Amino acid sequence: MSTIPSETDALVIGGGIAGLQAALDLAEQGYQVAVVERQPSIGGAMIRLSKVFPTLDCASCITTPKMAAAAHHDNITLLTYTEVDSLTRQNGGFTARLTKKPRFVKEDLCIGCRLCEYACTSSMEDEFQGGYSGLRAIHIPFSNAIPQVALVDENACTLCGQCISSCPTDAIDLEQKPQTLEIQAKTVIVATGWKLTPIDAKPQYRGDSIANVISPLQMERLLAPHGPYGRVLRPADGKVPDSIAYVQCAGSRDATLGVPYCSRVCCMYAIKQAMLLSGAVPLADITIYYMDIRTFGKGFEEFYQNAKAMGIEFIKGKVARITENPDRSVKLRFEHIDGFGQVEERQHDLVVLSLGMLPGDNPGRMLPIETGNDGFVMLPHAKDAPCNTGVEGVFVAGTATGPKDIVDSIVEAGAAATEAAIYMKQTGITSNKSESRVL
Amino acid sequence: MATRADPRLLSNLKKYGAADISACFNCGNCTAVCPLSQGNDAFPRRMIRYAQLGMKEYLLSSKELWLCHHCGECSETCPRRAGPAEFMAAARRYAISSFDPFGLARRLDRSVVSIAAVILILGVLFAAVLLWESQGIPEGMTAGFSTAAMLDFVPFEILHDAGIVLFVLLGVMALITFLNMFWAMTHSPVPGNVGKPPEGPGMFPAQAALKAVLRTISDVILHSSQRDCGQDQTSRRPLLIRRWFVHLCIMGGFLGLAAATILDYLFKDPDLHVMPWHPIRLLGILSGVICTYGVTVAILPRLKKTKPGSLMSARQHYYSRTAPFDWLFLGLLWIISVTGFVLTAAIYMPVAGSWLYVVFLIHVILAMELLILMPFTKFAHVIYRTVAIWFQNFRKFRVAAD
Repeated sequence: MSTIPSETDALVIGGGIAGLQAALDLAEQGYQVAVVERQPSIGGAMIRLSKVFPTLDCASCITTPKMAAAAHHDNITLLTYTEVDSLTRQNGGFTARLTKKPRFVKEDLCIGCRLCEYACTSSMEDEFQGGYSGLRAIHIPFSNAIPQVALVDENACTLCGQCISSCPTDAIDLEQKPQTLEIQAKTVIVATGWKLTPIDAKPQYRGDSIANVISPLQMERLLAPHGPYGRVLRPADGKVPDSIAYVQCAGSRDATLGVPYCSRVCCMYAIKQAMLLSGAVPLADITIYYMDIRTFGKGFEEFYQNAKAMGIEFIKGKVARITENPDRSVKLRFEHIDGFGQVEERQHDLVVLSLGMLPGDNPGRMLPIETGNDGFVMLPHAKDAPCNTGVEGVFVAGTATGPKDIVDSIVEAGAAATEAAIYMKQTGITSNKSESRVL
Repeated sequence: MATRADPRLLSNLKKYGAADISACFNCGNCTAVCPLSQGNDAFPRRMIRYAQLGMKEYLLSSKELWLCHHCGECSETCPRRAGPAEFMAAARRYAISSFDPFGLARRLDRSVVSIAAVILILGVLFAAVLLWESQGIPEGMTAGFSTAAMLDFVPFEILHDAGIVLFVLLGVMALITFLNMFWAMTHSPVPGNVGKPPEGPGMFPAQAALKAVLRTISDVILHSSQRDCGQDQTSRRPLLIRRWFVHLCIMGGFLGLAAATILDYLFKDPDLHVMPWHPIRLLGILSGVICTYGVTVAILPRLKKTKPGSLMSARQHYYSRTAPFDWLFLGLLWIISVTGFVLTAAIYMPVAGSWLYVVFLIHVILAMELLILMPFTKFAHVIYRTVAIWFQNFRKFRVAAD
């Protein structure tokens, strides 16, 4: 397609909140920016959240305008469903080799009408909704996805062809092949983000086999206004949960999982979800099992104290074992450290494992930047240049460098954009003029 | 009540093998993952806390030290890899040393040189006593190897008298260590522990004590708590190599051998040659086989080396930390079992040779050493575990009976 530029000023890897913020900050200064996103929609992890701590703002009310701003910005080109294969330094700049994965839908023709979805005969699990609802094999990723372009899931599609005849613009092309692209960029910002610790990481928690033991992102969807059920129900049998428990440090601060570090957000998101649950299921008892509560950010401690005042129970003691009862409730075994240190077992209808943050991608595989033992990008000058990777011209923002919350990610994205702008100015690069396209 | 803190407690414990315990951040995972921790009988975290705070009296008077069977599951799942199971083992060794007024246990625990020296000195001493009136190794060997020949080599009277002296000495020393522990337990500052029966109506103390004795005997024979120990529960290994079964073999075999030896002296002329199916001899042979099997199976996995620092399963945790102190007990037991076996076999087979008399001497000397060292080695758990289980049962009966 002719609309993909062959060169740009800045290449941003990752279209989550950090990547989008960095792209917008550079674009506003007049630089041309290309954002490469692996998923079919930009928005990253934040667009999946219900509300954010410690203000309880609606997450999509913050993310969607940023996504739209990036999509409509004249200086920003979005390359969604695209992977970076390699990044090499050439003539003072970088050459990125990209693979555009086939959507089996022509992006320039699709108008997002969803007629194909209604015609499609096969369905699949909706990962965006925590696996709790379904999608057609051809679908728009989620309601506020950007771009609003359909894609076909290869594994779910039965090649029945119903979508082809239903499409008013003849956009569907089941023969589409992966496309290799090359883009020259003067500077690169890595914002590859994070992923959740696998729910089955700790065998004693049996997160993979007990239906009512769920991940925090699944709970975000249960709490979201446009979530899978529209309200909070426990997934095993649709019961309204009477008691909900959070198991803190289920995916971090545990050397046996290979995650010895603190993920920094779990205490706060658990408290936030507990507060939202007190509104969503007012009669439910909510208990948070913790080792220690880490509320280090502005307004965090007050948030925690509010939660306690609201009647959310905090129990000190790491849960060691989780089992399922015949009525599908969940039994937690822990040492009640605040008591006499006695071993107790308690039952809950629904249990959320407060899983931690792992690096989302390994940027070291595409460009020669160093990552630490934990897999996050190393910062050679963390104090005086917190966004510099050690490779000249490559900057980093957000959770690619380590676990952090949304506020910190956005701040870091702004800093990375500034560093990139200064770098381009100092190396005498003037901005390109090219048209922006949403792809 | 004021609590005396011992600032050196933690560093002392580290010398006994609790090397990584400073890493513990008291999350309680170890206690909650332990299948033997129930209600207020909770360990290992509380024990670790005592150690971190220097609460020596609390630690030593905690029956929980002895309720742990070291399955290693807490170490396998510890978020800080602080080795709580190894801490418990170290604390038990520390307790053995603390209850031993002679300072011998501490030496045996700390250095291989001490172990070798003690084995050697006692060996020479016992050899001198046993061979005092020896008629030497019978010449010609025409008569072959027999019970009578052995007792010509080491006269029966000497063996008999030395045995009695040995048992009296052992009895005195075992009693002292037992009383030390019993005193610590009954004067424990731990709230709600054995020393202070809980509130409310309970069984009359003497009645509870008696019932606790009976329950303790059945617990020990049936291995009730070790059978619930995590490793055996989760691993689903064949019965023959499950730890509780192997321990039962060692214990049962040992008791059987002891019984056979005593019955031999009581009901039969020790000089007399009997066939293998003579009831007492049969008991001895079977017990010997069972005991040898148990000790061998206990030793084999300990010989495997694991890489330090690697993620280990509970089982590897358990076996990888076998200290010289453990080897002393297991090694003696193994050599005694095997030599006993060889000697018995030699009696019924047409073999002869002066080496058999050397084997006999080693067998007797090491058996005497094992017994006399009992309060100072791993063997001492016979006293301490039993007492701890009794206290646990006693407390249960005091609370439950109303």
